[in-house]
Amino acid sequence: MFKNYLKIAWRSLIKNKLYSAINIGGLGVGMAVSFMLLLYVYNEFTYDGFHQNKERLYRVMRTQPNNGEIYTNQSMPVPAAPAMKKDFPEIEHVARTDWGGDHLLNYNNKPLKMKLVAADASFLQMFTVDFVKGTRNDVFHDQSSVILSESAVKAIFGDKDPIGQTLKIDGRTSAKVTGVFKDFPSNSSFKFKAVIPWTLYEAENQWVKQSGWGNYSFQTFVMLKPGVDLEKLNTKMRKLIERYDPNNKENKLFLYSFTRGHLYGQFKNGVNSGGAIEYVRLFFFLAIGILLIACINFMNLSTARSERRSREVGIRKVVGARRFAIIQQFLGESILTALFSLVVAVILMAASINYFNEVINKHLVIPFNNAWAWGAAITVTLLTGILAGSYPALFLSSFKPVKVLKGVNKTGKATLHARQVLVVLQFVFATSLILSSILIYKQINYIKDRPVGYVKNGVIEMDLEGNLAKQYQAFRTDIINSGAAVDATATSGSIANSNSSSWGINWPGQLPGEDKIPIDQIVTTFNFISTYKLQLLKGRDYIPGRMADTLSLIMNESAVKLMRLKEPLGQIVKWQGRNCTVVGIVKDFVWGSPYEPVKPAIIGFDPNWANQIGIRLNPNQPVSKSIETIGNIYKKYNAEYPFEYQFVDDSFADKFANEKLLGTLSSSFTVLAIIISCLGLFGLASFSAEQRKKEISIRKVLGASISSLWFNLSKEFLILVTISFLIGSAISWYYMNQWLLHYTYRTGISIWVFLATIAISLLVCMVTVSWQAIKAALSNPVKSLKNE
Amino acid sequence: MEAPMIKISNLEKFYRTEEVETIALNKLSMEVATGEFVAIMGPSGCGKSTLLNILGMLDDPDAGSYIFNDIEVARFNERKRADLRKHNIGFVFQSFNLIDELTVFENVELPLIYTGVAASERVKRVEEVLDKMQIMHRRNHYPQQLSGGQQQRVAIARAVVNKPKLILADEPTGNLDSSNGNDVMELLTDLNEQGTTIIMVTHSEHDARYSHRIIRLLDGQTVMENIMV
Repeated sequence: MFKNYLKIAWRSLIKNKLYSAINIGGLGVGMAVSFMLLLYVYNEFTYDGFHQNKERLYRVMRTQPNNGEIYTNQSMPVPAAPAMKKDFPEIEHVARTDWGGDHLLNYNNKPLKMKLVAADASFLQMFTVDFVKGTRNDVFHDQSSVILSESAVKAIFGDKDPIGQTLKIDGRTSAKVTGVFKDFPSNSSFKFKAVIPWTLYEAENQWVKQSGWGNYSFQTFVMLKPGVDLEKLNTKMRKLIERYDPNNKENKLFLYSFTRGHLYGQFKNGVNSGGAIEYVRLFFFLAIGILLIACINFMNLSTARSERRSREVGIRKVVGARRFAIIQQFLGESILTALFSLVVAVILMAASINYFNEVINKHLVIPFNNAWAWGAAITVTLLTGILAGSYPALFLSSFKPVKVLKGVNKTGKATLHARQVLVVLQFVFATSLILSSILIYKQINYIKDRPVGYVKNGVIEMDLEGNLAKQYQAFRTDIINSGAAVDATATSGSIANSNSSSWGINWPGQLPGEDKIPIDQIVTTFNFISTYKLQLLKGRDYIPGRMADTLSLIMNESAVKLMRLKEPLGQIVKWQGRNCTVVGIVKDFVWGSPYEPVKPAIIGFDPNWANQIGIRLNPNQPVSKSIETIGNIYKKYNAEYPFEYQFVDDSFADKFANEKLLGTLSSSFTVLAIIISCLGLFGLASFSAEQRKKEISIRKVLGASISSLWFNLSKEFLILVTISFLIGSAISWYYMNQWLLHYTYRTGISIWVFLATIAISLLVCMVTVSWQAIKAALSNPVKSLKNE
Repeated sequence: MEAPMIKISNLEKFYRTEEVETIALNKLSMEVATGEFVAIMGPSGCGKSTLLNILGMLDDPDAGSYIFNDIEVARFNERKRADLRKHNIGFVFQSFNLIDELTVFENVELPLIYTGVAASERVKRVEEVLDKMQIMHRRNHYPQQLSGGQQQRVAIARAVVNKPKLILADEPTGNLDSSNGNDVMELLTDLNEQGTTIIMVTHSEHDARYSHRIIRLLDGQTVMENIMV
């Protein structure tokens, strides 16, 4: 019997090629997209899951009051780790690391920049680092050692054995390669390719050893002994800093699961508030939604064709088939279709995974060799087949043979209603997406158009490293004389990313406790205001050559407001232990989050704090030419280092990376949902046109015009789409409102958004339905009347 | 005396639309003995097809009794009717009603599949009956590749492959030319002579003459019975 079903299924697929193609293709596209989304979801859920001790691994976190809120982060003082190990017997291992930035690794005068981390040797006992050469117990025996990942070895040494070779790090530290480990999977929080022992880092940076409990500059990880009560330990942990630094009661420590960190590790006002899990949920919802509308499509198209299958059902029943046998047959067909769609989906996935990775900025890999993944895919496919086939199967199997064989089986109003509900469901999903996409883009543009307070076009920034740090002034003069740049300044960090703040600042009229307020700080040399073209409201910039300006200070408007200074110029503010005179006030500029109000900020002066150089390119010369000139000059100063730079407007745009991703995804899914929904609508339209053939013919014989017939046939669908719009817009209005509340600076949900959405929906609907309607309206009435 | 294969009494069937009720069968009673060949005649709308559908258990009566082989089936549910039908009754239609996606062989095989006959046995029985109907050479063709007469022979083959006790034929020659029509009537007569009971609805006096008895219906009632000699 099964063979017979398969045969019929196969032959009816072959016979109706267009219909089969739409069905298999539609379902295949839906499956491909939802599988890719599920792949992402799986990838996120297994993030950092490869560490064998994952259940016992924790990150040490710290809370600190800040401007009436509680600020939570993971930067730790250096002495915390040894103190924890000493005070808490529950802890098996503890390890400190730095933040793992890019460093220059030089072997035989071939310098390469790579992510390198400094870590305590215990790090290798806690986390799963898979050694190919060397073992975790002995690689850091010697202080001057470095271990590398396989890809780093390949890049630096090629096929040569790296063990025992010496690398020069950042042009000064020598370290011998003692171990090679397998690269971490892409869904790991650790991105570094090289590790040096903490002892080496301390030896190279003397200040580290001396830094006390008030300097939060590193990360600390903990591995607990089995069976430890986390809550109890956290209660004790809270007071650790205070125990060693009695004046420091504000900073409290606690442990947070290392593997949970990626998805849930965001804190708002001291409370765990989620994290990437929100995106995972969104993706999961989209995956299910897309699959569902693809299924609905399948149902609609299958039932639309029911007239043609009804005779077969009648015959089968006459020769002895029970209803259950018919249900089995149609489910068999839909499962077969779903299996073909799986093939299409796999091909589509293979073709588009790279593009998808690019969009979401991940490295997802289709797990072709994973039996579990195939099992899951086939299970989902079978379920999809059953779901998609259930309604058509129940519907078709209910036909009465007497009626269908006589051709009087008028599929009743009930089925039409069911199918209308399905179409409405699809379009609710589609309109929600249309509306959300428009709002996401509106919000991005709103933020982008917000005045930033400086001119971000035509400025590049690069690291001040190697010789350049010593010969900055000469380099500056050279690039300006070459005509490539018009101005340049050395700063502590990029103007596009706030990355430093300080407390313990004193000002006249300060209230008790206000010295604990952290204030953003950017430390500069001369020419800062002129290079970035900030707006100077009062006073002056630092005067080139005047080193006495180390005792001067520039602030932004918000800082003046915070300090309640009526006449700020000339006031003495204590910053970094120095009594500085306020010499200038600049208009607020967006340094941190573009979605938040500008925070108080100090622009300090300290030539020894420079890490970066900002260069304003010559606007009268092509950018590429200026960059080339600067690159050539850079090589003269820093031959060892690669010439790397970043445009400030690009760095600024990176702040919208999440929103942009959301926008791209949402608009792609909108297009997809519209296409799939239109296929469903097309199905319903053809069904309705076929059903109403006789009515149309009679109307035509009686003199109805083509356009009136077209309207008559299309009206029903326009109503359906309008209903969907009402439901869909209510849903997305609610959710988008919630989403916008995340942002202090946010766009409004204006009426034109709704108008645009309904216009798009109706237009798409009309285009889809009209083809069938016009075809029906143009058909020869004699033919269909004869058939009756 | 042997009990009749079919005994219906006071059978009623109505068709209702929202406002109008049409009587298709009006307290109809009749009997058909095992081995009989009965023709049912009458003008359009007299209730012939309704009667045939009820006899074939494709439809149920609104009132009255229908005893098939000593079993009262008038109140059977669809599942029970389907079970009884597939073992006992074969159908032949005016428009053949073959499944276009299946070959001749597969169409004939279908009833055997639904009655759960083993595959090897199916092949034997299908080949046997195709041979008898002289369409063995067309076994791998699809219905649309056959002439009307050939299609009806396939349909008859399908109706008899399960060795039913009763064959119901609804204007079996209606779509055929006279020569093919005669062939089909000869086939039915042969089957009847081998013991199968046949009830045939027809408009054609010529075809009716092949039967033993003609029942004439008008407005859902028997108006006359002719016994053929």
